[in-house]
Amino acid sequence: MVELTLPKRSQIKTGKRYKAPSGAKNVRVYKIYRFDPETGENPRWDKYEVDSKAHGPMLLDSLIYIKNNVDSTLSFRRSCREGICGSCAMNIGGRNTLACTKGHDEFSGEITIAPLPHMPVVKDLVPDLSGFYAQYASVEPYLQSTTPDPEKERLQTPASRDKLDGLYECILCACCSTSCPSYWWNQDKYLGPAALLQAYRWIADSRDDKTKQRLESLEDPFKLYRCHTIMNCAQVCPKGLNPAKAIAEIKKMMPAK
Amino acid sequence: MVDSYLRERSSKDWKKSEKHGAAEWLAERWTSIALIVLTGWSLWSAYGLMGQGYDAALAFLRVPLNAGLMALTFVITVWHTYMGLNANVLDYFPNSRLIKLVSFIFCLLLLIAALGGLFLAFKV
Repeated sequence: MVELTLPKRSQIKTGKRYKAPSGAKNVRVYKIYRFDPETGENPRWDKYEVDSKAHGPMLLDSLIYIKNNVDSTLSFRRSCREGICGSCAMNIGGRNTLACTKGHDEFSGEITIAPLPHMPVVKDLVPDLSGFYAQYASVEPYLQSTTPDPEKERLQTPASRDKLDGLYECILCACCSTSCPSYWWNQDKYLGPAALLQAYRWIADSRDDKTKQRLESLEDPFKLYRCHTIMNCAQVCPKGLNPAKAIAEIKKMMPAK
Repeated sequence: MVDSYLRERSSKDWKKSEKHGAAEWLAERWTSIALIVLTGWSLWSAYGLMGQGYDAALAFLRVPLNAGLMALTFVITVWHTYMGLNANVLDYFPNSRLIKLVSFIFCLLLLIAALGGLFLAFKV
């Protein structure tokens, strides 16, 4: 439900400023959200002045540089460094994206980095995504067939296979769901763009025999119909996918089921 | 503290389907399409009646087809308004029965006012 007042201890205060070493050229300022629930303190914005020549071109390189050389207490998730694991999803310059595929030279002035919006924060830039993963699990994202297992693979026509393009590439980074206002207000009931994209990925799969049951489990005023085609999901997806289109396809299939 | 918080979040049961929503979604689309046609007709009729006086307007409404279409316009407008209002309530106050009741009463009054106006026009 929409919240008209801020939760207790959520007001962000001004934090420390870490100066660049003397003689540093090409200094960029990173304004980073810091929060540790175990200290009992409010979150704060810390500012880090970093010589952009001292590290690689991506924002994840900047964060790793800060952690290794300036402030080792900074927490963030990262793994593959090439936009395929989705771990380093965060809100950069006001937009959800992957830190590993975003260059610091794409921004001018101070760069603001915050965790994915409207999610509980575990620490600093690490959001709690357990609800998001529970939603993903609830759409049963695996093949369910009533026919016996074939000796080799289950075959598809090229046309049937083409229907999965733009769906299977999702890396579950949660950029889309956490950019959706409907998800912000009702994430305890609305599945959100990522889970619905994955639901449609299996509905559209010609090898899956549970299409009717999948549609029935989604027919709900909250689970599916809180999507109002706001399109933030398609705008921020770092893989260039369009969850809103997948949701629209589910809505079109629903009355005919 | 963080561990127990995460466990609590992970173990929660996910919402079961209410098995409705498609009919409401279709109704929103059909009433939108109907209103495009009916609003166009209403505006066109009003344009035709401009400057012709009260008697011409009454004569227009006494034609059964015109009266029927006008009543349909009112009813579908209120129905569509109610669905739109309800969508807002579900978005922002899904757990408030009071706000749901207030929006229902508001639309009921709107419907009574619209049909009452049409009825009075016929009586006059």
